[in-house]
Amino acid sequence: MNTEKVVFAFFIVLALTLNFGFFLGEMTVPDHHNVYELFAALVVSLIATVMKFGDRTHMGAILLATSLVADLQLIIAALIWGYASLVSDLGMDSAAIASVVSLSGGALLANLLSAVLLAIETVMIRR
Amino acid sequence: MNYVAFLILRRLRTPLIALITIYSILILGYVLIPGQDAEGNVYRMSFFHAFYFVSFMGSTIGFGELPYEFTTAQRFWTLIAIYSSVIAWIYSIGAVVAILRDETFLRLLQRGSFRIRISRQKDPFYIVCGYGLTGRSVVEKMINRGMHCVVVDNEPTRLEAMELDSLPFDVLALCANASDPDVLNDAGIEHPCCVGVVCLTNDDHVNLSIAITSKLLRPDRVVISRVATQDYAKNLASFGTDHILDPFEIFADYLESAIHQPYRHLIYDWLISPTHREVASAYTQKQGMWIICGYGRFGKALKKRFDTHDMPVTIVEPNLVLRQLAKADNVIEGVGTEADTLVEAGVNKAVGLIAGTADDANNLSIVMTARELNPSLVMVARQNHRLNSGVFGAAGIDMLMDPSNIVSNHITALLKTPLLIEFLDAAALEQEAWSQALIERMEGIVGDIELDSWSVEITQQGALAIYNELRVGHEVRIEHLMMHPFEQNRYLQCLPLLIKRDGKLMMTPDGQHALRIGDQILFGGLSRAKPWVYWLLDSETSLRYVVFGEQGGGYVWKKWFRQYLGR
Repeated sequence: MNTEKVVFAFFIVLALTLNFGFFLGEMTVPDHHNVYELFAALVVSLIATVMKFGDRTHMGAILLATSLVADLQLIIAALIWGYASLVSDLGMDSAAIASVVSLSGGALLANLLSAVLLAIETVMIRR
Repeated sequence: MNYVAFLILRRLRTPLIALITIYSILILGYVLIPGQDAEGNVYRMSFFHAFYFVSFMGSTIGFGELPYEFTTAQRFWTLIAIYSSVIAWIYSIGAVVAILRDETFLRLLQRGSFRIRISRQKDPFYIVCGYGLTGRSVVEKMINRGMHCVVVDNEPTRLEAMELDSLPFDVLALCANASDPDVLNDAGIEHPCCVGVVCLTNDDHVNLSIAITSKLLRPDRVVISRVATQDYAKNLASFGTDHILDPFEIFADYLESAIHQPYRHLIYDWLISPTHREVASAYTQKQGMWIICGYGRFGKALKKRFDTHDMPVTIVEPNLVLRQLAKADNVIEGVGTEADTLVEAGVNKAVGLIAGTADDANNLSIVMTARELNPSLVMVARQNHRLNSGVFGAAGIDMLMDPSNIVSNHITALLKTPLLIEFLDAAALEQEAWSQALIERMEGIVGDIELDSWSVEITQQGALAIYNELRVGHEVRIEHLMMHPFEQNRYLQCLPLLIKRDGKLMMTPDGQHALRIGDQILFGGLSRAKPWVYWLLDSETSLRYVVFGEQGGGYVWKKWFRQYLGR
């Protein structure tokens, strides 16, 4: 067992589940999407990215790339959330929450891909 | 180089995760703890404000409480936030600084830059493994002759000493164990400009593994290795090491020729070592009985030479059992530092004495004692440590055996030009009278100054001016190469030692000898004559001046001359 890989798996799956929780709900209804969940998903995703720093294997580099994609999507989602709720005159309307949720949906896809790759890597080790 | 980037990133993981975790906990805390706005209403910070506050608090602690004055609960949290974020930063910065100061990291960084610099190397270079006394003097001589070398040594202090040696050029150095094939690879054994490998470490086994690695990786590279024992010498020879240098054997040969062919010995000595012996030393009586003090590797090598000439030898050795000797008339037990041992060995009727023990103090003492007993003895002493060279110099010894000097002189001669070694081999077959005549000519040219030697090749690349003259059928003779390019009737202080034409050697050709394309010529003389010879090889104007006595200028001048003066 490689502890490093197990801990990474924990974080990447946690990022996936948190993101999924945030994504779940009616697209245009702000009440269905919890800001704490978005925050948690972002933090966990960042940690997962850092954990892949300095990995010289090909799989490690791919995992770093996918989790960087997730980070990027979530950071932009968070920025839009902050802009809509604090700066924009319109406030948190259905259009703003829709774009936040769709961005987090993109991140969800990237997280999913990471998880699939991780599963593949694990299966390869078993063989 | 990639190694380094990965290593840094890997080491940064923990500090970065610590920072992210602490920041997220702090931000969450500010979002959850209720505050009060200016009117006293309950207010909750947004993630944006919390992130803003934590960001500046962590780094500056000083913009005040934003966006409203904090409640007591918020101030409690701020207190925790200040300390934890400062600690997180100190930890992260400390970790980064620690990486930058880390030995393995620095070594990786140096190795990376070394590899890059080697790959950019455009001139031919040698890899010198081992920067001890010998390595140091070899490198110094090579650099002074404009050759490039790369030094590998696993002792950092030696390489630090190299920085202080103030060599005229940069020498690339790597601190690593050269017996590791990866190290040799990084040092450029596969590089197209690498000419050869010189193994000069103190350990025969390390030299052996370097030699075998380089012969396996690149069989065409020249490998020169120092060796201390005969077993290793045979081992090295078995896989085609080009030059194997055993200082004891070299010196034994040297002494043998000094005794039996004093003039040939002088030629060898003048060409190989920078400070040469006086011609008068050839007249000293050296045939007769010799005493060898110390019968180790050195003593054995000498005894073998004396035996082949049937010369009487007496051995003085303190430990007969160890050396497997039986006490006999010509084997005396003792160190040789006491007068009675030497008298017993027959110091009064001997012609020469060799102080060849592994202890410098004993060797000096043997020399001093023996001189008191018989002032006319020819003294040969072995110097084991560099530090003692001053004392040995003062002792007035006729022939000093300094292993590191012998090896470094020999290597320099090998590297100067391969023709020199061919010349010396061919000179061994000549008569003493020939050697005497040559040494007298040499003395007339260089006197007491170091005799340098260099080779020229009459090819389009090596000597364009001569090549062009010879191609159109003009005659250029060797004497033309020995004339000063600017001053008429002045000869350069050099003489041709050897011409190699179509694989055949012509020893000491005279000046009337006409040159042909493809000739290789070995010159001996003062090093200040060397640049002039090279000048003549390439400068058309100077060559025409010495060959035809033609005054001329450059291209523009000649054109003008022809056009306006009709010539």
